Amino acid sequence: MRFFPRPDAPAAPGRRQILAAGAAAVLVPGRAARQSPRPIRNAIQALFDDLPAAQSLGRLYLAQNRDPAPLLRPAPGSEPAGAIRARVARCRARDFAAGDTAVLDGWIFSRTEARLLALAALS
Amino acid sequence: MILDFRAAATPAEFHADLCVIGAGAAGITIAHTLAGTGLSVYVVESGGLEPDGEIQALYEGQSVGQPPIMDLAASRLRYFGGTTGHWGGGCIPLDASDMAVRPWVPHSGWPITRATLEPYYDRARPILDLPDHRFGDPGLLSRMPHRPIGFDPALFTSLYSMSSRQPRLGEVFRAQLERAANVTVLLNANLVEFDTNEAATSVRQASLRGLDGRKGSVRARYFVLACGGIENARLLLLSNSVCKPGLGNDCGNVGRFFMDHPSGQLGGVVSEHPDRLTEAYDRHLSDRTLPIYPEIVLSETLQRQQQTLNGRVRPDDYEENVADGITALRTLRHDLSAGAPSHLPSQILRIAADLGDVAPSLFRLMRGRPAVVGHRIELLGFFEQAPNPDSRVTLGDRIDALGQREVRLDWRLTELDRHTYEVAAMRFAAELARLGLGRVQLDPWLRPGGNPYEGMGGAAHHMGTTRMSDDPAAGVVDADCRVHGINNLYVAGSSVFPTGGWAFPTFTIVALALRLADRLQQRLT
Repeated sequence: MRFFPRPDAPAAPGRRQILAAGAAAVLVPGRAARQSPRPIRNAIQALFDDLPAAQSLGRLYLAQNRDPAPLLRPAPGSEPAGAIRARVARCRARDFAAGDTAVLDGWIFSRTEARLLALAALS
Repeated sequence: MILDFRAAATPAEFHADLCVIGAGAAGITIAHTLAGTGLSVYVVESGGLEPDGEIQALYEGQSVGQPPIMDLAASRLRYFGGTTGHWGGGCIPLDASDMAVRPWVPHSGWPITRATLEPYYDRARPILDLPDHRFGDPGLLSRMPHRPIGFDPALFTSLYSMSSRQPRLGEVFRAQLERAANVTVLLNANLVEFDTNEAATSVRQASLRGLDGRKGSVRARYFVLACGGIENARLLLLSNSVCKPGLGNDCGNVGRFFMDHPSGQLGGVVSEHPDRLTEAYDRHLSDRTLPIYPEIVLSETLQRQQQTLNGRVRPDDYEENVADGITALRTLRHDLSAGAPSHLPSQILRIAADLGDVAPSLFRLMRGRPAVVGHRIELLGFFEQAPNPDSRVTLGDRIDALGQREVRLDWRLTELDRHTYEVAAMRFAAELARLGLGRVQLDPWLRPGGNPYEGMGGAAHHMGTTRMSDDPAAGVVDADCRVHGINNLYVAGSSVFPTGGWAFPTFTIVALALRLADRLQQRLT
């Protein structure tokens, strides 16, 4: 099932992609994303089924927030996948519980999700 | 006794202890309470026992506000029973915090507390035939067909509203008032002005006029104006022969602070669990013998921290293209429950011809699911309105059939209202996402830069135009609902609400009317 099935909504990443996007957001600092070597860029791009849609939303976020880099928290890249998923879930839950959200084309994203979309746009 | 002012045999001049203008929820409650006492009570009603187009047209007026309000003539009913004639029956008391001073809400605070109203809320329950459960009773949770969603209580509180099982108060109390020896209901008689003494400190009589031109009056020791949240202000403004600004309007407050309950669609919800999201809040799925409904309410903590007004939200399963057989089935079910099936053969034929759609719907209903799979879920919001002196009722230029100036309504919302809608939508969206129940897309009007109030409409809950205050400079009536500066004129109804919470107003209207009836009985005996 697509996550945003409304016909008037732009194509956008699915739930699995958004979860994975959260993982990248805590793994990849913004500067690294902009100057990313090919493997990292590929990893970011691989998070989305519909990369153009994700990048479109990411550009909206970038237009609202000039530089997402300071908002991104570098983290060791050597965590096991399970730990990453748990951390992503915590980040999302923390964002939503705190009301730390961003509005992109009307959709309400957690800050973590929005930053990852921005990374996709930058990559 | 019920008299028709148009009948030649009906006298034109009357004398009473108490004259109540208006036979809606407030007026009928007062008459019902005083029936059987030794007091002589006259209830003056503009309409008859049934709605009438010519009389209803007296409610027409001009709406010039932002956003435009619904049709002024259609949102109120002018006959015995008043607007309870199309009332949905929703009841819930105001919160204590609704009546308190909130520093971030200008002009907030009642001169009485929720505790003052509590005994009258209890007495209002049998009048409105409410289920015998206390509001907020945690035991109700186990009676719900579907358990409400467990939102973070610091953000959203689960409350329960109830529905009156007999909301048409005209039908409920007609026989009692007809029999009551001390109560006279005078139908088809319109108040055109309260006549006062020269100092405008006391009302001498209510001047009446029929649509046929007949004139009359009621002299009484006390008067109660109970004609609704718009008409109460209009009639005070029209009573200007002695006091030119209108009665009770020395400080210019009559008609100001008009409020409704702004409501509308905040966004759409996409969910992988649509039934889980909507079933607890679906009126169609409730137990018909126990009309109690969960509500998702902005918590007091959220209101205080985010400095918002009160409000509630509801994910609503929007049905598109409902099959004809299902529509017929619903009509049949409704008619049967009302004991009055109409067009029975044609309805059965429609159901039979559409069994392909009806059968799966019945199967879903048997499993406690909505009959129709919603095509989309809408996020609806229902809100308190910020008291605003610029939101007001005045007299317009057009003249009605009685030769009286029609009403002009300028309904205005504020930045605090818009802020409340944004906070409610954003925090509810975040809660849904946190719980994995869905994602919200805000409607365009609610996004940054959107038209601030485009998505909001009124709920025909007209309030605030004769607000209650201890200080005569800050309101129109005192804590007893007596008009400041006039010793024998009282106002009943939602026009006295200084703030309105999000609560359906009729329950509080009836509670305040009971309190006023007690006060008047004490004064008159």
